[in-house]
Amino acid sequence: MSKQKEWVEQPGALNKRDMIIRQIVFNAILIIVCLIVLYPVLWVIMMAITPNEIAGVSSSLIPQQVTFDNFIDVVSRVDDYGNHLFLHQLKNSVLVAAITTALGVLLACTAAYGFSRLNFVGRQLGLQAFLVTQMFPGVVMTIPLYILLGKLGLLNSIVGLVLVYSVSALPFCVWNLKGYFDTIPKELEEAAIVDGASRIRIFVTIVLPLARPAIAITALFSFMTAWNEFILAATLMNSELAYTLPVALKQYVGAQSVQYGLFAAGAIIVSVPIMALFFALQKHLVGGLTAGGVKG
Amino acid sequence: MKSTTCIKHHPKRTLGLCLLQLVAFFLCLFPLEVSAQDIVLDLWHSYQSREESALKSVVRDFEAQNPDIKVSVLQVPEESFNNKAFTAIPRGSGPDVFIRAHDIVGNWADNKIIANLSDDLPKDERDKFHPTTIEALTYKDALYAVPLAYKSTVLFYNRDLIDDAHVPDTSDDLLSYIEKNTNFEKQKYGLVYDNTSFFFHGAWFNGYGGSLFDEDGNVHLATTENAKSFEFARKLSQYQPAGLDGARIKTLFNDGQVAMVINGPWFMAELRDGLNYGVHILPIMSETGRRSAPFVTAEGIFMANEEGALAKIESQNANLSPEARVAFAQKKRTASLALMKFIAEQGAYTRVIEGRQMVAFTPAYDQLSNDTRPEAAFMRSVAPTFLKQLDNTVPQSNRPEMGSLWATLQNALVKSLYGGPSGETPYLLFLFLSLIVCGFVFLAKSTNPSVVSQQKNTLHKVLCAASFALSIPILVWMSSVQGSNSLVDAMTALTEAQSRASTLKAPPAEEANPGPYLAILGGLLTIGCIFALRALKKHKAKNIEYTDNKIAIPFVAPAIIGMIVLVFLPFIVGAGLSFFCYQNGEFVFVGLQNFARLFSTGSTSFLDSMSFYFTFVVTVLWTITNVALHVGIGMALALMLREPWLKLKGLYRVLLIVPWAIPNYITALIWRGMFNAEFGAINNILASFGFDKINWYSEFLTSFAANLTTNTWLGFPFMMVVTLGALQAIPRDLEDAAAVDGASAWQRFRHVTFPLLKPALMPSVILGSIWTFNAFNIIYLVSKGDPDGSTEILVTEAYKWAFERQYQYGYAAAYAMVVFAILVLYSKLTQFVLEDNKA
Repeated sequence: MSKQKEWVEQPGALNKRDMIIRQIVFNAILIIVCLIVLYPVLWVIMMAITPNEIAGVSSSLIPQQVTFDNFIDVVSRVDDYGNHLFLHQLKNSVLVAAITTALGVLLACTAAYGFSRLNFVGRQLGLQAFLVTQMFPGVVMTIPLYILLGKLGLLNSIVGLVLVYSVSALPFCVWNLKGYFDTIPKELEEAAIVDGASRIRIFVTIVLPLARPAIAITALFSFMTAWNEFILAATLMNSELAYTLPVALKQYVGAQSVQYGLFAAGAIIVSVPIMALFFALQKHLVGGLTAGGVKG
Repeated sequence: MKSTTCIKHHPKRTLGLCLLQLVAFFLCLFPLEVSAQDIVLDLWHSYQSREESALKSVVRDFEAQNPDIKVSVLQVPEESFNNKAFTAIPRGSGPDVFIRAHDIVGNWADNKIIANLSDDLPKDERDKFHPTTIEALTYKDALYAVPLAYKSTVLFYNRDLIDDAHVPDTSDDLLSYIEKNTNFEKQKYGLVYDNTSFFFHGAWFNGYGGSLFDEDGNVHLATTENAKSFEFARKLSQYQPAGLDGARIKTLFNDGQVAMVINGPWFMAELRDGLNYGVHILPIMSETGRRSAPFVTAEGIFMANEEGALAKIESQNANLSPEARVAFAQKKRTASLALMKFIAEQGAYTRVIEGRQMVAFTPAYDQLSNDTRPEAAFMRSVAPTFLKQLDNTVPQSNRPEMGSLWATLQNALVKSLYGGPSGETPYLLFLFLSLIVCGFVFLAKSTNPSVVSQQKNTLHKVLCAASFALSIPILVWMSSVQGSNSLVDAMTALTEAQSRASTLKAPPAEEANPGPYLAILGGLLTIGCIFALRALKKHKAKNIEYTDNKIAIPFVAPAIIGMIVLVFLPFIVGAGLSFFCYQNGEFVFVGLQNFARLFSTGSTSFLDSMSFYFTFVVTVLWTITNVALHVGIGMALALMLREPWLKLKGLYRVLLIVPWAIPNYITALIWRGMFNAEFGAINNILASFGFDKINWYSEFLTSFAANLTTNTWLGFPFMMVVTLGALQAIPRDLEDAAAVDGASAWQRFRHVTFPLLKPALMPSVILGSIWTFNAFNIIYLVSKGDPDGSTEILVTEAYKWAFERQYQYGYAAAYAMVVFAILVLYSKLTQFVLEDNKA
């Protein structure tokens, strides 16, 4: 990808012809990239709506037959006692993701504000420690975490999942939020301090409203972590009614064969909320993602 | 800030309400207690569709007959089953009984996970099961499960393409039939099977009299018989498309594109209604005169070991006295046995008819003749063949080392069928990596604003260009040494596999004296404390005051406590494990032995794709190429998207972040399919441009490229968004001013935009490289380490050591520690370089 050459050769002389050429070149490149990006996604949709379709086979994207049986099968799974599995699992997923998001945002906002504004013992150390956790390979953590949650009586409970998820998204969120808080001028708060406002009051009334884009990102990340995770969920949950959607999705991947159609239909159902959230928050995405970019 | 009024006006109330709701939520989520005397049995399995519903109806029958026992059935995803059950059972949160194939027997018996059932199934009862299945589930003379079903392969044939009389019964007939009836252009094939799986290869392996162990029970792979079976498989592989998996074979057979398929009984459930097919016993090998004998997998129903069962009662019924617990455990054991036998014996016929299983309980087949249902007629037509084949099978060994040996053999098989990484690859790879690293170092130096000297700057530029330029011919060389010459002679592949098998095997743990280690640990802690105190003093001397200590507590304490308990604590425990060795269900302190084994690479060479060093080089290359592509593509797109005159900007931006929004384990699976050799979309697109089809996963470079493509696709949107954000903070006027001064587009980017962008992007780049370094899902799901484990990265290796190679937790933890150390070193180094740049 020759990236730098394409744009603006002579910006000083912007005549109409140049402008049109540039529009065409830029749009052509972007359309090609978009096609590459969407191709695998269209594949998933193909697999879901065609009977007996297999991942990535043949290059044609036009389905010969269209059926929604796969979706109906996925959504209407029922266990022996007549419990609607899909609804239960959807409820679990929504519950886990929602509480994780709430808890994650609460923890990340307060911590990031502390790290950004307050001068306390171990501030630098704490920040470094948050970064270091990103380097822990997950492999070694599973079993100790399992034992720990067992001791706390949190196996097979949504609480355990929520706690682990909200903490695992925390380092990134804290760093990102701290970076954002750093860009908010301190003068605003100093004025309020002079007026006698408490720190907590300042935090809630002044800083939080200004940091909305970054909070949106934090929420998105926490939600995504909780919504997509399946290894831990599969390990910790001990009943089909307690599974989250990604675990249910993995049930279609068997030892000898994969039920591709059902898997794809399930994949679409799992992806749609995340995509919707992304699109709803995409305006904030650009402004809110600093990843600690601005040093404070 | 219009819509924030709610927070503004009632901040405390809203926050308090939120907290209250949270607490209330948590309270109602805690699991309810089960009353002590109900017998509830947990049954875990991984069955799907027909088999699952048959099992469930058998369980319902059991509950109807035993109203005092409740059975709770759980379908665990196949991929997670072993990890989950192996972790859960000893800690009392696992199943009471579970269904699994016999390959786990040795390992799980040694690790005290499963109960010995030798006395519970007396001789006369055992005789009702097919002897092969009993043999498969027996380890060191003890029986560990009640046999349920067996799975071995037979020959399926399409009656529309080949009639009953012409189904080949010798390997020579088979070969000549295939030769005549295979036409790649028309996509018609004589025989297809999953030839890269050692399980399917078993028929030829045993037909040639192959063996895995010598008389003393040591691994011995390099035998002429084994090699001959590989050569036979290679002959067959010329007549079938590469890269077939179960789902594709099913499609080919259903569509009538293939006359014969080697597959197991589960295949019947996948075939379309109305397909006119038959089953036949596998042929006699013409060379040896023996009938080819596939491996057989026996599925049994297992019971959790006593210790696990007691732990479970302890955690669920904490109020019971120890004696009552033992009594209850006994009661549960009796109930479990009743359930197991019911499923195996009374339930056998249901499993035959509803689940289309080949059950181990032979009397079940007698009922078939009196049954008038169409399902029974169907089973009557196929069961005899499967039973006849069962007499000609070899149970796959259930010894603990089998799991890893299996993977090794499979790699050897693939290498002799489709080739593997060539001998030069490691050297070239190393050279390539060093050049790339040099290139990037010089690139960083030449863009470093602090270097004033023009000459030095030019020198760096030249060196950078030279490094990158040199790396290209090496890449070309690397791709040329691969090609078709990389087919490995069967004997060589087997010899390599043998040496690797010895590396994989856990060495006997020598218990080490923890004394010196504890002393060192104590010493380190003391030194740490001294340093901390000194730092504190220094701070005091500098008059740095921590004015906000008290206010900070409510802000940061919750997050920090959460992190300590749920992240640091498990990590420290995990780190501690690297000094232990997990053997026979116990952790033995071994000191630094795991690390010594890791760095010395055992009996394999440093350049072997299994060695730590090779994997490390691949991991670094993986990280560099990925991050470079993510940043490059992300930045290019961001620079395009910020142009104010660009139309449809919003739409592009929305579409371009799609890869980020879809869970990556889904897209990884799709990309794996798209890179399939024969049917994948990528090869079809290449073919339409007149290129040859590429067997992507058979060579290092192409396999690596497949991983890289997938991860680039997944990763660039993040960098694009970060760059877009950073660009917002850069005023356009600077660039416009430069443009007025006559700077070209490249000059403006190079001297204005990029220097401003760099500091803002650096943290994301560092974070991105850490994430890529540990990108487990992509490697594990796309290339799966093929060929021959060469595209494996450090974390996937660590995972395999922990869960797929005899549960060598300690060794896996050592691996993970090294990964951690490398990353810490890397981030320190970048910090150092960054600060140096600033100065």
